[in-house]
Amino acid sequence: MDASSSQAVRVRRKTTPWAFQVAVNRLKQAIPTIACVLVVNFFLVRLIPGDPVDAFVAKAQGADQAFKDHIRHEMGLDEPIWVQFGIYLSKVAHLDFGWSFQNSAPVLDVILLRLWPTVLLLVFSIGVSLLGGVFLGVTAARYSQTWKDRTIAFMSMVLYAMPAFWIGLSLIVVFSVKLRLLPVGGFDTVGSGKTGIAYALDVGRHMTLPALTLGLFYLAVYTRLVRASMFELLDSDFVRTARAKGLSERTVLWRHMLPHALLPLLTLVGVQLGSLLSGVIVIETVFSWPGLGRLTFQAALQRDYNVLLAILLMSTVLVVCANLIVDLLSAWIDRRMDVN
Amino acid sequence: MAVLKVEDLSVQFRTAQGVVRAVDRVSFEIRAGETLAVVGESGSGKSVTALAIMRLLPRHGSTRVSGRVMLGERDLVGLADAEMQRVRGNQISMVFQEPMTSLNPLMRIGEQIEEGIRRHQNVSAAVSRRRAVELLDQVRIADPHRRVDEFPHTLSGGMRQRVMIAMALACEPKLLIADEPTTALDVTVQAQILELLATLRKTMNMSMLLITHDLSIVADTAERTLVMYAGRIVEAAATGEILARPAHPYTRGLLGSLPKPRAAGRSRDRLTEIPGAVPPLHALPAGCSFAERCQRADAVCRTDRPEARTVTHDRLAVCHFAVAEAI
Amino acid sequence: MEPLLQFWRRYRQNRGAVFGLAIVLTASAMALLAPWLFPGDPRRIAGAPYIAPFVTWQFPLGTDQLGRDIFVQLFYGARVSLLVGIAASLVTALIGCTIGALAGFYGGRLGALLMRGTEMFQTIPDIMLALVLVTILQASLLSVIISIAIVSWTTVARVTRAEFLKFRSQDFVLACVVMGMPSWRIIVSQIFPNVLPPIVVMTSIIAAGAILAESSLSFLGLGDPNSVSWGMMTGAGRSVFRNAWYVSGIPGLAILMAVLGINLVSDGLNDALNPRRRER
Repeated sequence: MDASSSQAVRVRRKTTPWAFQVAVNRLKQAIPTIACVLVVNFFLVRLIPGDPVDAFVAKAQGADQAFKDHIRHEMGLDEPIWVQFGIYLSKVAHLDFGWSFQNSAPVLDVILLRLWPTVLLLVFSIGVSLLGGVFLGVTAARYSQTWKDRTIAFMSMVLYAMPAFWIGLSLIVVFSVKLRLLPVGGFDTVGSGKTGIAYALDVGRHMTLPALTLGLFYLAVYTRLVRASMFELLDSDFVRTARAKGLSERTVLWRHMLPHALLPLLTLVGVQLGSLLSGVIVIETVFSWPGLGRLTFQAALQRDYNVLLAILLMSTVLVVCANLIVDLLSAWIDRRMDVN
Repeated sequence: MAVLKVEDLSVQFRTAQGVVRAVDRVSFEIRAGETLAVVGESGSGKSVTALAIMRLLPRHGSTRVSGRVMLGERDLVGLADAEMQRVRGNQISMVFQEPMTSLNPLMRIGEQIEEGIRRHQNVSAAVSRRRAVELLDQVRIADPHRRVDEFPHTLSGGMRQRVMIAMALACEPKLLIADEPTTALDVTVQAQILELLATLRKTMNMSMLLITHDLSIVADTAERTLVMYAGRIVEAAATGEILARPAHPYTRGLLGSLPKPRAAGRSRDRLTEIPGAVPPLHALPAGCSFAERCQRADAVCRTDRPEARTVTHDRLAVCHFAVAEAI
Repeated sequence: MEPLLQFWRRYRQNRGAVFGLAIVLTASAMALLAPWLFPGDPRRIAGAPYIAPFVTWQFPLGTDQLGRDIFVQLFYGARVSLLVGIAASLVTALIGCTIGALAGFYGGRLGALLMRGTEMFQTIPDIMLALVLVTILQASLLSVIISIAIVSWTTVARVTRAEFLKFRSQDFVLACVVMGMPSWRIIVSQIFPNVLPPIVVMTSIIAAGAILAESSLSFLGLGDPNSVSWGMMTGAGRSVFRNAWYVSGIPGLAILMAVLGINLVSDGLNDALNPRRRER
């Protein structure tokens, strides 16, 4: 590239900051996705055989006709379907997801109450599994084809095949039932009256096993990915250049190779966030963790469709947001992308 | 005085076809301030030799290096890893064949130059940064203050090779190994890079090991030339001697396949090529490795391996019929 | 015959893969032989509750809290797990290949549209969607299989598209276009055989994932209520696991072994189908 065209690149970069560009690109993709989930949400419920009032208001089954008609009118179910869709959209725009008849509260309130325990759990377990996965993957590459590498590869293979609920149950048996070190489940010790740091520690103790359970599976996934990417890089030209400079093996691994391995890892984290939320359903159920996952499960069992659909929408939005962060991080690591 | 002395260097790889001797008892020395060229086709073992000196061969259990590589009093073959790291990029540097892939695409050019400096010299960030800009200027990259903060993808192949050279020279090494530094570049850029290497070698008073498959570029750059074939050195002499009076039939073949500038007017003069190909290294013939392709070959060539013989003072050829002939 | 033998020679170089194959074959044998070896309802009460494993020959792996034979249920559970694994991965491969092939071969607007759709499905949380679908479609094996396929076809589509893009511009394909061969024939007879290896590997990985997903759904009580599955057994044993770990421990171990086995096999397939990648 000659000087003048790279000058042009610089000028363009100054006028539109790359972060802004990346965000716009991601949002362009996100809007149809969210729109589609809205449409699917709306029609999915109307596919349920039987009276929609029965579907929305599980408790309405067996209620008298006058009550049902009241609900029907209240929810606009007596309007033509496209008007119903319009009403639905405007309600969503106002963050009104309807009423949860099971919880006797607005859906939004129910969800917001359960949101932060899940976010806490997710951040903690993703953090631990990312750090662990990177460390183990790099270690495997450092000691490639020695017993250390083979042990890491074997352990991650086995962990990768373990059902999350089974890991959870095993951890409970070992740490709660046999060793009596950690609580079996729940968010905090009920009625302990702890505050401040003592309370935080109490929540931490309750969170250890669920976070570990969720984290172990993803630890295996991330370790396998980082190890594979690092192996691909071991014999590449720029790594040889780094070695030729006399850099220590540690610098070569962490400074030159790892950023390349982080790119696919970040992409995977973004893509897998959906399935991570799915894992949360199982784990929160096993550990009675009062988060979104358990709420989803309860809503599914009780056919509380308003809650279920709102969660589906919200988790899609959550995944989109996480992907935006992933895109920004990737673009920051790899500046080649911001040229076009 | 010799900067580097290679004695009986051999490299073996264990492959699916069996053990391959990619470099077979190679000995030579590089003198202070000289350029030594190693010429050969691909598969002749010239790059493996360079990587073995730098100890940059892939570290699988299947590679075995024997012999000695003496840098002053020290044998690099047996050196501890940490010691070897102090040598690489500091006393011996290397420039590779593929400028497009040899730079780390995720790091700024300046950082890549500076990290070598800071590894070997105890200097501040400001000093190493100034040095990086200086080096870019030295390898004649325009506007070095701006380039130092750019990522490699903004540079052309020739520019990247200049950056590679700047990186290699950062700590003023005694010896620069250039492994086919111009092969991947356009012809016009090739000449510039070679000229740059020659100039820098002179001003910094280094020695250079220039590895190439192209005999035509050694004339202006190298004082002495080694010719390698199938893992062995087959001829060693002053460059002028080799070009004028090659002693080994293989060298003569290589020269015959080059267009001769002086003969440009004579249209009858056709380029000759060496028939056949380099034999597979896992199945080398019993006698001379080149016998199958040699017009000169005799019964003795197919049974006995030739030893190195002195043709004239200071020149060797590994051939039963080695005689220096003018072509 | 000769290519098959060669394939096997490459495959068996990977010792883990041979072990995995042994596991998969054992599970398949269990699934096939279950009704013949143990006729009758596997969920009938066969003896006293809470018999520990390896105590009596009558119940080699013990009984659960209702006195049902764990060993027999394990055999029947293999049927569900393998059926879901095979069916879900085949449906997934079918959807993924079709969409990936169309997107990769035609490119342009159609390709962009299809890839947008693929990205969209990727952001939807899988078990959450499965949960919604299973509650709406009613719990049955079919709805479990459909749910798993709907959320997992995206990976196959991406891999297929990438491979098709690679082959689309190669000479032998261009030659077919010039010869006037219809596009569907080029896709099916020319490109598809070349892109099959990575798809086979992907599909086997998805089969393992499907078994895990089915076990999660069954564990939550959302599987087919009319058949025994390993996930359901683990879920049923959950309430008693403090005193009788084996009631949920043994079926959980079965899931682990089956998934591990399939993953090892897919590793071996990968090695055997891409010989050049084996050098590491």
